[in-house]
Amino acid sequence: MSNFDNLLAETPDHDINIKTEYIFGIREDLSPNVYTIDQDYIVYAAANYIIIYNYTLKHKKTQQFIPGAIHSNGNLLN
Amino acid sequence: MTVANYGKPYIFFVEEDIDSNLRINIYSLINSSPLYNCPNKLVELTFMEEPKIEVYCIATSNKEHSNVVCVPIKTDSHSLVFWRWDSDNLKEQFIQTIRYPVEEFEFLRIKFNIEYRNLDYFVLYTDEFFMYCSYDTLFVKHFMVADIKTKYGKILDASWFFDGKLAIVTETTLIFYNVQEKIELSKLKINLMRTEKEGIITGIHTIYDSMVLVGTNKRLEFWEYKREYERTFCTNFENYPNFDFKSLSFVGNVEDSSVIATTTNNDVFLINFEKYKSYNDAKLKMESLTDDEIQKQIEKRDKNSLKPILPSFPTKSIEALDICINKPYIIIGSKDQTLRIYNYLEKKLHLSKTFQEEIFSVAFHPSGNYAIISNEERLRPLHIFYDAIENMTQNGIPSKKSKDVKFSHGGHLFSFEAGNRVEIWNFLTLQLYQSLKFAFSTSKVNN
Repeated sequence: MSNFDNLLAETPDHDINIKTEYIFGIREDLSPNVYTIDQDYIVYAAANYIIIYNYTLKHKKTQQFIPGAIHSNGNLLN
Repeated sequence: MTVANYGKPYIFFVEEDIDSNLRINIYSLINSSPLYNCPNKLVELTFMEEPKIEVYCIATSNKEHSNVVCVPIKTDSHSLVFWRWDSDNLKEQFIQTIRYPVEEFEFLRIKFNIEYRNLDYFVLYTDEFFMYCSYDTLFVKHFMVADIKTKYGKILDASWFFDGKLAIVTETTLIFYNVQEKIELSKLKINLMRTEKEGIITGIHTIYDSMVLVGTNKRLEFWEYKREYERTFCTNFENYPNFDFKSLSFVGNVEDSSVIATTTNNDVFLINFEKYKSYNDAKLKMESLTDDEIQKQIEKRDKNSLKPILPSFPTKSIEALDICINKPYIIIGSKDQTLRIYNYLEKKLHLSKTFQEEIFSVAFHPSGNYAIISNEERLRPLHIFYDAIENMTQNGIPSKKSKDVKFSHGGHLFSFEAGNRVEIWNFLTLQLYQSLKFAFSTSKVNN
């Protein structure tokens, strides 16, 4: 067992979780490319994600993500 | 992608899977809490078609008991596909496919009448004519109520009013149309008397039951239908060059009087037009002011009512990226010749600069006060000031399309690829420190 394997074995699972925090950018090939849900939320697409974005400072500009399907070829058509 | 509100919001989007099937995903934000934390996937509709599908748009009805999704697609023949789905038992039901020969139609967009609940019409328009159609909950009937060819040039956009009337903007005319009575209420030739300052119309959005918001490549205009259209007031965003409005959408409820506007430069703005209305009312009282004083008030109003809500983003692909060690900055260079620095903690655009040449690679100095970019012919060291990006030297360092530039950990040296060599330079004196060449390789250095 190599040193790297030892390191992996010792590392608890919760230490190596990576989650998407924020996505910069917007898909411009969709039209219209921004929708509103209510006064604080907009919905738009970036890469192969649909992003629900709270643009108010009160909620620290948080994003929630809807990823493309597992069988998606990465091409969000509309 | 579209959003529908049956009391609470649903999100629809279309994607293509690895077998080239069309997938329509419907997500609900109803039970996600608090405040839409995790959207729930409701239905995934799969539509098998022959390859090379081209989807124009996705549109939905907002009528509570007729949850219909419509997807105009282009295959060997143009098709309109209608789906009905039930949000209670989550079972989709295919309604009908309507096909048209290719030579007759070139769909641009389909818009359901989402505001006026008693009318279940939608409008489908091409660049020359538009149709408005109605459907029943189970199958399409009375399809294509009217098919009207405009005499006023290419149709640019159309939008419904609350009461079922339709506003259509063409290259030369803004038309106000009563769908039920099939009569043209009013038309105004708007482009013929347009100046360069007013710009070319790119999109419209209807507000209340008589107001039309017209986006041009220079500004936003607000038109109101009384006996005939009157332009009531308009914005004046002269501080934003190429302010080309791509799409407009209404935010919140009516009292908020604000719109989300997207520009072709990928800027997303929240624009409060209540201030424009109040300004217009107060304009008569300003007659005693001088022109300069009025101009100052206009600039102040524009500044206050225009709020960027998404950081601006490049219009072409990102070619280079680096992260600063000491400051929360990401620097990106794009094919559209712009260099942008984002603050990833505050989630905003910190600085941007447009260059005359394409950017091939970029390196951020560990201090965050300098950067180096690689252009077609040379490397350019840059100062990153608080509010500007400036060249450090007039001529830069000769190097052709260097694909990799990197600073040392301390920032006193930097290296870059120069064909089959790696050159190391002193950043403080901008002099060559060392040139490395691999003895047995003549190919280019990649990394």
